[in-house]
Amino acid sequence: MVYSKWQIDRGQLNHNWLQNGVLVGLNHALSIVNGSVRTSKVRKSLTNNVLRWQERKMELRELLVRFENEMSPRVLFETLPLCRCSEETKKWLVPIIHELWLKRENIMTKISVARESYQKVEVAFAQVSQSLNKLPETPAGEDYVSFVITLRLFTAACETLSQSISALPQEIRCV
Amino acid sequence: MSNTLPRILIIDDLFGRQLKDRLNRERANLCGMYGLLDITGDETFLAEEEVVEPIAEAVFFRAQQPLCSMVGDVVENDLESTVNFVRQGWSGGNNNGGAWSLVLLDLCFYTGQVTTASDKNLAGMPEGRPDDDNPRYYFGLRILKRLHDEFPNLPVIILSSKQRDDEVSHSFATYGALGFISRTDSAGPKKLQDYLNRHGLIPDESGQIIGNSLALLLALRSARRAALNRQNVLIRGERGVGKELLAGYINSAASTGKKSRPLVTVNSGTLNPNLFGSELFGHVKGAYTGADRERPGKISQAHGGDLFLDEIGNMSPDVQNGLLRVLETRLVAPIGADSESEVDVRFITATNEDIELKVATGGGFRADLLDRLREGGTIVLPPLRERKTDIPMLAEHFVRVAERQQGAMFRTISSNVVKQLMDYDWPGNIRELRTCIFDAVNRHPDVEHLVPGHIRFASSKEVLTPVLSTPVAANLQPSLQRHPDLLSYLELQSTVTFGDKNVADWSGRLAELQHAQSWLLARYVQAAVIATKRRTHEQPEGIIQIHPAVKLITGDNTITASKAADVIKRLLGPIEDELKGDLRETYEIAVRLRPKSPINRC
Repeated sequence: MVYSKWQIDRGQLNHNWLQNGVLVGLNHALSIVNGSVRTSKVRKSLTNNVLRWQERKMELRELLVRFENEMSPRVLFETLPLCRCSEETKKWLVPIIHELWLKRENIMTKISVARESYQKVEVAFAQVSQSLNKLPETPAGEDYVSFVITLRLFTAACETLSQSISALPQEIRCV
Repeated sequence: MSNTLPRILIIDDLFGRQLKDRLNRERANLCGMYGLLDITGDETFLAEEEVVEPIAEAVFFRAQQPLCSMVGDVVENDLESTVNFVRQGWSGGNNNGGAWSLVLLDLCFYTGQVTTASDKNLAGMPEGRPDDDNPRYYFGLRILKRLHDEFPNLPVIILSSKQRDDEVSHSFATYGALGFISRTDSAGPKKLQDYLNRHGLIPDESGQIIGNSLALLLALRSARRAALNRQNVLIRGERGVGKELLAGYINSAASTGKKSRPLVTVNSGTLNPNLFGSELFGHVKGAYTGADRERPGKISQAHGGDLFLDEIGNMSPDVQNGLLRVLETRLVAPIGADSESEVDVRFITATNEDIELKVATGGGFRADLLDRLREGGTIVLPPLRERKTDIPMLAEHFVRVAERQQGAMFRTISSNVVKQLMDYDWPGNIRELRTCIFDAVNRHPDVEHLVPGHIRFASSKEVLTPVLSTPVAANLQPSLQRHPDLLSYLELQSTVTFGDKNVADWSGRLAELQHAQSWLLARYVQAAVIATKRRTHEQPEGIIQIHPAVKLITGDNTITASKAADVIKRLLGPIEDELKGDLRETYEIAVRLRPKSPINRC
């Protein structure tokens, strides 16, 4: 089986960072807001959890861009045994294999869903950051109202993005 | 007695990793999200946040080596150490089961080298290998399979941020995982609470039902599951195992978070069969001779809640017919009434009989009624001999209850008593244990440390502890063989320490020591009395002679008979009320000889 670095990077970014880091952190922030977690540094905790998105978002965007190139079965022609094919054969076979993969796996739709999800996260992040800035140092009760709404939207957007990345193929498959 | 929070083991590479110089922020966030109290004890930096009302304690385990990895280390999955860790908490605790109420298991574990980049992104995490992320090779599924093979009763739930596709679902269901929580699901905390309730091995939080043996925890779990709906439940178990308490547990579990439901109890065994129908269904005024006023039945009283019927094997055919009709129609008509009223009652019934056998052999119980009564399942409450690890907890509890009834005095239980209690089979189950402990406390109101000599068993299976191994022991009366006071005395001596010169602690045990000392001296008297008995043809068992006996004990041949009687009175007086057999007779002879001399109770 041929592996791509993209698979490893997806694990690091989607599984470890986005799901276990960002999303768990955002749910934790919701626990602070709803009072089930107590802290003397409310604003600091909320800020840390919300701003985590910024840490590796560029890498995540790059990951989506890289997907088509690195996970297409055409990379199989770069390693044994298919690399032994003649250049002439590769010239016509490789593009066909790639096109077939795009069609059969519905790749372009999946990629476009993931990219849209990414954009939605960016919008939701801008909103929640704005609400966060308006929070007093030690917020209480009504101070949270608009922040909670934007935090929930941001959390849901991250969840959708994560699912859309998970929906991309797990391995380089022959078509 | 209030039990602690349920304990969850979380097997996960990211949340389980140990960090030397910083807080495991991801773990702290997970605890905040799910309402968990981290008790792993491997953190050097503590989170600034605190979970207000945790639903469970959490122990985290990485399932990889090294547990604490740094740049340059290669992280590998470690199945054996994971299984060992689970085993320690499963069988190495103070019970033979449920140290882990539940296991939350991750699917994907990242391996490989910890590089500068991977460490910068998530401290201590390796860069990962392609197979780590492939559902076909999930390490979590390998762990799951081993746990399922080795600990079939251990409830495991998958907690993963991986997608639950068909392949993964099929695998974890095959290997016995009971559920799946997506870590990114904001409804996850609610799901965890539901899973804990449905699958967790959790002691009774109210402290009514005491114990955390696996056998008991499985029964409690069945009870909580039964409480999720309103179907009738049958409880089976020997006499004295606590069937009524379990009925109360089902009732309160059904009421959790809701308005409490009534629980009405009827003991079918204690009621006159002729009045049983009236008790259950009620009656109108004038329904029969003596029915001078209208009286609602227990079924109506339990409307909206539960009716507990104990010893259902004793129900007469008439009552069975009436009950079956109520179960089928949900209508009840008091005896003598013209109309029926609707009732919403769940029947929790109990029996110590083999009711199925009774049905099969035509022994007077209706098969269709039995089916109705157990439509929500049968819960078997184990006998005490099958949950012996609960005995120390139960004994402690009953000592405290007996103390409360008797007055303020705190008693400890010796390890030998615990062993003695655990060696016994308890045919009368918890009720018998309770009686035994109450008996010990009541008979020894001033004893602060219960030792084997204070324990009396109701059945003949008593464990006898011989005091003497010399041939003389064979001649001792049975009543004399059962006193292990010498051993008690020695045990007391071994537990007393003067290292910290805590006189308060020591003086509190003085009375106890004196009591043991008195019995030790009494044993010398007993031996001397046996050795100096005058045996004749008429009385081959021998006549007690206190004067030669005292001479033998003291080694003083010049002592007079009256002085000898005084010595006996002094030695046996402090335990006068407990004397039996030869010792009782010896003491009475001394009192007859010297009625007016003081006993001198030290």
